[in-house]
Amino acid sequence: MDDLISPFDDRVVEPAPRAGRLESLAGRRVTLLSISKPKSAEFLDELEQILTTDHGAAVTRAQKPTFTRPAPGEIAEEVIRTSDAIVEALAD
Amino acid sequence: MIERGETVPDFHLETVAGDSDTLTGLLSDGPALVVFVERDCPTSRLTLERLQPLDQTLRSAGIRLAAVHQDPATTAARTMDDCGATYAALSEAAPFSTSEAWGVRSVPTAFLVARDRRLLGSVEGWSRDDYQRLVTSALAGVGADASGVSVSDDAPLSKPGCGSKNMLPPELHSVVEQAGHVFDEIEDMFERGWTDGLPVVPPSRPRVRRMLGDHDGSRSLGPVPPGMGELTLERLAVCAVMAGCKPEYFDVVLAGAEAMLDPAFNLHGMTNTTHTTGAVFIVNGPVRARIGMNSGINAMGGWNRANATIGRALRLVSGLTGRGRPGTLDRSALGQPGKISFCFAENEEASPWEPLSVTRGFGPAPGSGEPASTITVFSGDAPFTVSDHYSRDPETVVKTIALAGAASFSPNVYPIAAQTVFVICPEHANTFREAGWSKQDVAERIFEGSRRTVAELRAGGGEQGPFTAAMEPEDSLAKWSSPDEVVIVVTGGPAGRFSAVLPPWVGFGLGSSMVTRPVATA
Repeated sequence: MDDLISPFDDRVVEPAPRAGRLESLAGRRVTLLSISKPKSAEFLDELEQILTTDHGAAVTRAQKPTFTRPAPGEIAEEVIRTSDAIVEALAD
Repeated sequence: MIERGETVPDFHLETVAGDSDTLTGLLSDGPALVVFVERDCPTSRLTLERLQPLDQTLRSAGIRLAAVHQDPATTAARTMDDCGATYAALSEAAPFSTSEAWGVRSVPTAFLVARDRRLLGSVEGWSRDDYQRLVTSALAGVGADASGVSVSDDAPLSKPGCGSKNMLPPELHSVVEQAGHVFDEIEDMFERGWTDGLPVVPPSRPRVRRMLGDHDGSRSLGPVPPGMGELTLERLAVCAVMAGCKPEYFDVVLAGAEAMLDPAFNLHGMTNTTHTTGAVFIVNGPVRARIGMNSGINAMGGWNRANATIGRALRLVSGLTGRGRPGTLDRSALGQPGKISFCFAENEEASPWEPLSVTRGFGPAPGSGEPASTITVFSGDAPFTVSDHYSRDPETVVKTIALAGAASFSPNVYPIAAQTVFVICPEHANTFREAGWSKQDVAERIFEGSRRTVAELRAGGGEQGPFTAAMEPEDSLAKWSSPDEVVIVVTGGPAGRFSAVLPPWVGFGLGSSMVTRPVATA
C-alpha cells in the first residue's frame, strides 16, 4: 500500500544542538522557571535553597504567565540571555 | 503472449457483483478492452484509476471496459472502490488459467479484443502513449470520433507492472491465495501508527481526492498544536477519510478544524494538560439534516455516522497531524471516551429557544435567509448526567441541574470562571417552555442555584480556589463569574428527563474559550 497519503507533516526538523554542560554551578546564573502551577513556588523555594547553599549558584526566578499556554517568546529569550543554566519546573 | 490477429480464448469468471460473465458476453455489442490486474500491484491500481475517465466514452462507442482481477471477488470489489473504478470487474482464482491461456506475464496487461475474439492490440504495464494509441485505435475501429479523447497525462507517464500470478510455480498459488491474510490493510494502519486505537479507513489517493472534492488540497490551515504539523486541506481530508467520513461531511470537518485551530480554543494547552478534557463539537443549522446528523435518541453517544466520524476526524487531526498522542504530547491522567470522538447536533426542533449558533452571533446566511449552519468547539469533559424525573416545576428542575453543574472541575473550587455546557433534554426543555422561561432565565437560575457560602466550601475540604481564603464564612459565591458562562444546548430523544453537564477545563481566561465557525453552504 504505497499509494496512501500520510496524515503527518513529515518534514524533518533538524534537532537543536545540545547546550554545553557546566563543570560546576558555583557562581553560575541559574534560572528557575515556574510554569505557574499551584504550589510550584514552594517546590522551587526548596530547590533554590539547595542550589544556593550547597552549590553556590546565583539563582533567579522566572515565571510563565500561565501553565495552560506556551511561554511567550520574550520570556524564553530573556531567560536564555540571562542564564548559564535553566531548570523548568513542569506540572503536577 | 497472444499476438495481434490471433484469437483469444473465451473465459467464464465470477464478477464482483456476485454473478458471472464470459468474454463472449462482454463482446456482445462490440469490442472489449480487458485489463488483467491484481491488488498488491501499484501499477495495476494506477491503471484502474486512470481508465475510469475513459469508460463513458468507450461505452458510448459500444466498447466494454473490464478488469480481470487475480484476487478473490471481495478483494477485487475493494480494489475497484479504492480506485474509484465503476466498470465491469471479474475475479480469477488460482491457478489463474485464464491469465495463463492469454499469456499474461505481468500485470497490468490490457488486451483490446474484437467482437470475433481476435486480438487487436495490447499494452503491458502503464504507458500513457501506448494506452492513448490503443484507445484511439479502438474508437477509430468502430467508427467513433477519437479526436477529443485523452488518456491521463499525470506523472508517471509510464510505470512497469508486477509479476503476474500465473507465472508463479503452482506450489506457490496457495501462498498467494493466503496473501490477503498476510497483508491486511487495516493491520497495516495500526503498524504505521495511523490510528486512535480503532481501525481506520486507509487514506488512498482516490479516497482523499473524493473527500477533497473541489477544495484545493495544498491550502494550509496553519500548524496544529502541540506538534505543529502543518494542516493542509489534503491532510484534513486524509483524517476525514481515516475517520470514516463521507465527502459531504467535509465542509463541517473543515469548519471544525478552523474552530479548533483558533488560538482562543488553545488546542495546545487542552491537549498537553493532565486534565481529562477533550474537544466537544456541537453542530447547528440546516447542515445537520443535510448530512444526516443525530440530535435525537442517543445524540451524544455515537452510532450515527456523521456524529461519530466528524468528531473522530478532528481528533485524528490533533492526535496525528498535531502529534497530540496520549503518552507523548497528550498528558491526560485519565482521558475519557470523548477523546476518541465527541460531536453531536443540537435538537433545534425540540428547543424552546434560539439555537446555539444564534446565541453565538450567527444569524441567517446572507442572501438565502437560511439559518446559519455552524460548528462550535468546546473543551469539555464527558457528560455528567443529571436525572430529575420528579420535579414538575421549572424552579426545582433548574436547581437539580445547577447542583450537578456546581460539582464541575472540583466540588469546592469556586468560582471556576469557565464556560460550562448544559445539555438540556427535550423533556426538561418542555418544562421551561411551559413556564415561559427564556434561555437567559435558565442560565441565570443555574448560576444562582450553584451559590454556596464560603463556610460550606471550607467544610468540604480538599482542593479549593484561591478566592475563598480572603472571604468571610457567610459570604457566598456562584460557581461561575457570570451567567454568560452557562451555555445552554438542547439535544436528545423525546423521553427521559435526563439532562447533562459537560464540565469545562481551566477557567479565568487561561484555559480554552468556545469557538464557533460557520459551515460553508454548498
